Amino acid sequence: MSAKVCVVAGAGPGTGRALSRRFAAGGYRVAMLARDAGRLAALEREIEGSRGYAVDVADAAAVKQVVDRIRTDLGTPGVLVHNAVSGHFGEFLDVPPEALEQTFRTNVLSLMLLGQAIVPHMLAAGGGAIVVTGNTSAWRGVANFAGFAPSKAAQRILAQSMARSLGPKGIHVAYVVIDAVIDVPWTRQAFASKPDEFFASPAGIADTVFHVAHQDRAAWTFEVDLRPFGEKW
Amino acid sequence: MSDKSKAVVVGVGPEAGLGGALCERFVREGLHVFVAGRTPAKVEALVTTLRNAGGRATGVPTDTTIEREVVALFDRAEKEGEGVLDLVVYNAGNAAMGQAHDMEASFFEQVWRVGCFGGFLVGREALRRMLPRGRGTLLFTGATASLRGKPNTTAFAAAKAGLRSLAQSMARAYGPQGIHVGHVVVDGGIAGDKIIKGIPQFAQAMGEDGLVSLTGLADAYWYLYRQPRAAWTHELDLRTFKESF
Repeated sequence: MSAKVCVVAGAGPGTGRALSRRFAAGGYRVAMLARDAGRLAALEREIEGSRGYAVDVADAAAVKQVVDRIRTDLGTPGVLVHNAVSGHFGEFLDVPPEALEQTFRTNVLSLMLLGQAIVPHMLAAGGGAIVVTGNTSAWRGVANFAGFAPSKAAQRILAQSMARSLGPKGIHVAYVVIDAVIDVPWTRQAFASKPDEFFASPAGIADTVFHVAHQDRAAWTFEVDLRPFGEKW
Repeated sequence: MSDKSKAVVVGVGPEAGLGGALCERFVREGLHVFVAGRTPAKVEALVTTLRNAGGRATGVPTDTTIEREVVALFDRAEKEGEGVLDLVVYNAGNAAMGQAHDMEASFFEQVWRVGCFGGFLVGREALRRMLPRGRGTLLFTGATASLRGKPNTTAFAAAKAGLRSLAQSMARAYGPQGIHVGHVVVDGGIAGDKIIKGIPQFAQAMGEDGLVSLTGLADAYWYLYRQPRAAWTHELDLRTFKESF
């Protein structure tokens, strides 16, 4: 029970899987959070020392419960990686109000809920790290992103507020802006004509998240951008 | 990125400073480091330390604002020693303070020459040598003033903002050609001699870990150098956990 514990919220087949593998390789027991129990079971089989928890991270009561279970099962988390994301893409005039509400719930509210549930335990343990994975939408709203980009911008600002509030108390909060299309099976299909250098590698992203989560407290990063070398930006 | 790589670090002062810490780290990782600073005695002292520790280092006193000196520095770094010049850091700059109404034009120009123009010269010479090989890392040291002008940072912030934009232009232009250009924003005082010996009362008031650590900074530069090209960072900010930013 003495192993370090990391919570990966948003454990899918792409970045979430790479993050879980990276932290497991770094000596962590990884608690993986996602709604899809089937996906979690597959990841559990693949990643030693990991454990899946099927939960809706935008549900306040469920988040509280799952954090208690993680603490009982694995121990107090020293790292929280917030990678849960909900997207909506389409013309401004066609965005259903529920879509905007949904992206805010998954991308912003869940960070607040997970933070509020975990931070008190981190404080009691003397510190911790919270790393949030964002993307280009945290900086820019482009056409077709009206239902999504506002939630990522709000998520970045929430993380910034948490960083300023929690940093002096010993909890490192950082925001990783992935300014590219991530290399996962569905994006390879959607961008079939693009060359390899168009895609950001999940393993590279996970490595940077791991690096940031372990920085010397006298040299902490808040914001870090990531893109493959071939990206036009 | 083998241990046969070479690095150039421009803007090296005291051993216990950012330039010195970067040289020390790169040498320890096995690189042959070309140490470029304005003051020959400081360059020599650092090179002696690095060599005594078993590292490969060459001192090249350089005024980074003079084109022919920068060209000569890179000619030497390209020719001497084993391996390929793969990592270049531009760390020169002086946080010279002052307000516009009583500032000499020559003062403003000089701060800009060190803080920005030198970065152009060093970046250009590095790129000219790295581009044909299709690889290399070029890192620039930024500061809080890269992002914000405060009443007293008239010249410094103008130079630093210019350097940041220069780095961004280079990143966008040469990333697709295999050159990783990064900009590190050091958001706060650095725990080196300049502050610890220069303004000890200030250093003391900041308390334990109140200044940005040299080890932490060196870790970040080294990490940027080691990033795989499928996930490169252009800009990274660094501050101590105590900093209210």
